[in-house]
Amino acid sequence: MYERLPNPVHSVVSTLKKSTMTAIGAVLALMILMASIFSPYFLDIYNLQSLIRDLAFIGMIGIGQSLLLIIGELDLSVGKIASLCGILSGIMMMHWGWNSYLSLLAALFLGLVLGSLNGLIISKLRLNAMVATIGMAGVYGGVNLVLTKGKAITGIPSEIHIFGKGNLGPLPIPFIFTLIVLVLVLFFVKKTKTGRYIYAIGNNRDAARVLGIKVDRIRILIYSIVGMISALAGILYVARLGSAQSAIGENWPMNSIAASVIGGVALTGGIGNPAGALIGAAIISVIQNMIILFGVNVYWQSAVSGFVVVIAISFSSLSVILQERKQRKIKLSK
Amino acid sequence: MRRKILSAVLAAALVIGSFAGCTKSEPSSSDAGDAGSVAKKNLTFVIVPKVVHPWFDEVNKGAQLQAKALSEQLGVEVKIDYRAPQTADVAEQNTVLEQAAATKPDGIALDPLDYEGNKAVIEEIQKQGIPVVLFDAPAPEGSGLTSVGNDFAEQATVAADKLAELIGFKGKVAVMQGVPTAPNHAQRYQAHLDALAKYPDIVVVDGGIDNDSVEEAQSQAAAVLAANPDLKGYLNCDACATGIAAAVEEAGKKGQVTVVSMDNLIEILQYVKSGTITATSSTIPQMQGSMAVLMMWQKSIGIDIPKVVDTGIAYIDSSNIDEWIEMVK
Amino acid sequence: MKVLEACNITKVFPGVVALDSVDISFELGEIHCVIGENGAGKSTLIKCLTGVYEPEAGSIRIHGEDAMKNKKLFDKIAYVPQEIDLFEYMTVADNLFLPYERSGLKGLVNRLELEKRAIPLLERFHIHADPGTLVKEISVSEKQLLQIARATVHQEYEVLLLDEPTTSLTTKDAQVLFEVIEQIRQENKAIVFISHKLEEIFLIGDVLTVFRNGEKVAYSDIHEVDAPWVITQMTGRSLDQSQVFYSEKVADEVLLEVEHLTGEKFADVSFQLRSGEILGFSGLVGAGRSELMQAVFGYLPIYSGAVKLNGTPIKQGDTNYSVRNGLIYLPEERKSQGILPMLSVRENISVSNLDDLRSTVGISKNKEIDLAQQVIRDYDVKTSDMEKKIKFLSGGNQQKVIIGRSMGCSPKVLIFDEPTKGIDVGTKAEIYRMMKTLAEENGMGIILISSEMEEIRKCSNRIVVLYNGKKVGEFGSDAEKERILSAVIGIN
Repeated sequence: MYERLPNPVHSVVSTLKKSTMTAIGAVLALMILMASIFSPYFLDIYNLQSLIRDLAFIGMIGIGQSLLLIIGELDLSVGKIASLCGILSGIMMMHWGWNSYLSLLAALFLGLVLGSLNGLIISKLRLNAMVATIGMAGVYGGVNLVLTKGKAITGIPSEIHIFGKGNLGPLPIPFIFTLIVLVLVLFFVKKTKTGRYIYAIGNNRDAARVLGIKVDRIRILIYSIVGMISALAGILYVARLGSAQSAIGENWPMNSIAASVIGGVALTGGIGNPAGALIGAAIISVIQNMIILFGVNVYWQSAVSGFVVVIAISFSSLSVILQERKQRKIKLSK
Repeated sequence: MRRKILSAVLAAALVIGSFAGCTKSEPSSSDAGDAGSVAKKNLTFVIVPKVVHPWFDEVNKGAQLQAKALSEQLGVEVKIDYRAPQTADVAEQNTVLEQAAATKPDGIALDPLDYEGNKAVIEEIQKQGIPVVLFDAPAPEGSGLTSVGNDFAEQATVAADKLAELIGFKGKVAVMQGVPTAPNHAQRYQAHLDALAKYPDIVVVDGGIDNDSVEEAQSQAAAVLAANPDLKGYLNCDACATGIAAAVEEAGKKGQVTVVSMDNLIEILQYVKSGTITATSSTIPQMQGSMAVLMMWQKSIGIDIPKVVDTGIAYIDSSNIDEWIEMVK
Repeated sequence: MKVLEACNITKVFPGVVALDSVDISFELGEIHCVIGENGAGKSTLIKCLTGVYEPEAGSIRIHGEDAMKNKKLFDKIAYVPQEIDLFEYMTVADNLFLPYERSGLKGLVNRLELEKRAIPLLERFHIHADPGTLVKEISVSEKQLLQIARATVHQEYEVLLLDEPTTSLTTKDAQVLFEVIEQIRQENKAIVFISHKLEEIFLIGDVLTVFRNGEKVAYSDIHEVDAPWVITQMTGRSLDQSQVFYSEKVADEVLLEVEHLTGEKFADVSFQLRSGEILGFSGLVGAGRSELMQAVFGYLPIYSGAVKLNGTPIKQGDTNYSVRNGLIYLPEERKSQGILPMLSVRENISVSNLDDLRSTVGISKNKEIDLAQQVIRDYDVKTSDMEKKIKFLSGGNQQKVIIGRSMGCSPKVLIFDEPTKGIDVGTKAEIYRMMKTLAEENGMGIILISSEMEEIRKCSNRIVVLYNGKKVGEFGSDAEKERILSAVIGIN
């Protein structure tokens, strides 16, 4: 059926047949190609840098979120953890006069604590992850308001601005952090016992228990990791803006889930590669960048980007459909 | 049965209401709207903003100062009861209003989320003889209400005109939209465009849309800066200019792109201080608070008050930035 | 009279041709048995005949009319799936009549009227549960019967398809079911009966079709053939059915000691398991055998009593502790407690052996592949390749993977909970042989829970019988069948 399609599309379709990861990689490549053909500014080094700097944040959280999705859960408080940890790093630096690096480390640790708190209440009280993290998001957001009354903390010492604004060679530093997170997480899921167990848990929680896997402990661990990654994103954003603001991260929960799903991580758990979440985040960022570069009317932007996201998701599920069809054909022809 | 439950609930509400009334102020006379009975009694004025937000804290600050001044002048205790809804939701705001009215205050100043949605409750409160004044929003026609606030169009026009002047009346200017459905953002956007249209050598380009999010402002501004290497100026419509400023700095275009922003949040003022944002055109929330209290007091003692009180626009740049930072901090 | 005729049916799944040009037809008033090893294509055939799957090729005619063109004809076929597939949190009556059009009631759902209409149907199927109880409260056998009752409530049906209906039934309940089936045959309906159990087929069948590897290999009048012939057709090889598989090397060393154990579904159970011994647990479905063993393993809570492994009390409620100390449970519910469906065969194998796969930089994929190959070879797992998702394997092969992967944990005590449920005769013998080898050569203690009396007697050195959560008897391997059976059904 698809053999009759014209050539360029055919090649995309045949890549799609291989695997979800290559499929979304191909979608990203195609979008980058289109963007660079149709806008002379896309490949501008500054545009690429700010694009990559943007996607670093959603990418980082998406990588964490994909771990949770793999065990069949999710965390909707990532944005609030990020902003609360950012604010607290600001308070430590500006109000308590702590050393700035120490403050950042303390904020990271705090993210770990908040994440494990999420994990603890969800696993020990047997709560639904979605509802519980919506609740916790309220708590973290509320604490944030109590501490700041919604006001930003300004005057963050310039020595840490480099973490948000700086580049290492051509690459923005936040993105370097994202790559580090990705490498660590990939090592975790591919090479460590616990990492492999998360797929078992996501596939079949009861079977995992029968296998002697400490399901609850691993769930709490994953929530802690996600909390820490959120805190990292939060403090990098503080470094990027030079001020700690309480309103950042509002879109991070949904965008990180969208990035993971675009990247082939199943919402139902058990399947997916955290690297896919980074590609997913890149797709989202490129879409938003293209929309502005192409001069799409502001009132149309949300509709257009939503539409493109849906197309991107259908591409990864299309690859599964095509794979199945191909296998069926092979068998029939035997 | 149902009647019983209803009456029990009502009774409980009454008890709680009157209890709240006692703690907030001396019980007011049975007819608070009666002009003759002011004599020497303590006064309580309620302020209901849209939602918990630092901008409204500044309104409250102005109100508190005015209350203090009034207390000294009148020799009675004048109190401000600041009640901010947790979320920007009309139903919640109405609940807050009703609870406030139950304490029988001497006046309520409201920033309506949606006048049509608030209307019934406002009328109910007025019937009880409690004066209601709107702030930060125009009074809809036929409402007969007094509105304390500023002209958002004027705020934007001031900014646009100043920007035009700063870039020598020629070149490319980007305008970033805020939340298109927020009336004040939309008003500012239109006023920006109208003001810039006066200058034939200025080309207006689409500056993106940030939906009131600093992050989006930053990523959108970054793309706009990339797509328009010859951009001269940047205007926006909400309090998220920090994002634009950060994008300008990351692009290394500080000094090359002139940013004139809205509002006076501390992080914006810091950028004015550092020079990435050249100037900001701000409403004066403290003045709104102060005027709203004055209007409520006058109305409560039966004096006619004007339909519109304009609290003006402040233009903040390097010349007066230090006093503003001091004030807002 | 032929009510359904299927010609040349071909159905293909990713990686496998499930049905290859199959012809089959059913007559009214006849019980047509379908038999074949796991993965032979029986369930797929059923799904094609009920319109669930659309075959790639072939035709299905019902009363001579093409059912592919007129899907309404599939309404003539009532289907009872193998897995219990009821709405647990709805009542018996709801389950019987859903969707409510079948109840004959118009307009709003009248609960009382519905339950009233349910009573005669339930009685016919010997279901004693009240129509108003929730399905999750009734026993497994009643669920199975309810499932059949539900299919027959459909007024229009002429063919009743039963896919291994007795898997979770005890002998007594199966008898009830056979009576019901006979009754339905009297009403001149066509019945298709799919089963692994030869005795049942010879008991109730009229004609027989045998499947092997997606093909129809034999068709015969059932009275003209015997069991060895059927097995030869199924497997392509003959089997000595009289073989025994109990361990001949029982040591004195006690591996597992359970003392006065009480939990939700069992009370005051004590037993000992020796090294090299196969200990059978018999009882009715719902007697508490699985629950007892899951508590021993640490999966379910223990109210009182003690479990000692090698003389040391186990950490209760901690499956990780049990596995680390060599106490392993192989669940009856493969789908819900055993396999990780969306993961590959390789990953399903490696998941319980990751400690052995470590290299300097974490888990080594090469070692993982070696291990998977070894298990696939040693346990004769039939799969096209190790990257195939395990959910595409047949039940018997899934079971082999589960057994194979447990060996890496150097188990001392293995609990097999209904290891051959839904598995064909050939593979069953392979599993028995595996258990025997493990006990004799590795000195493991093996606990075998089974509802099949033959299996228990063939494999066990000793047999413990539970009734209603209590231990009611303990027998040697030479005990008479009748004595064990009376203990099982609660007669002293």
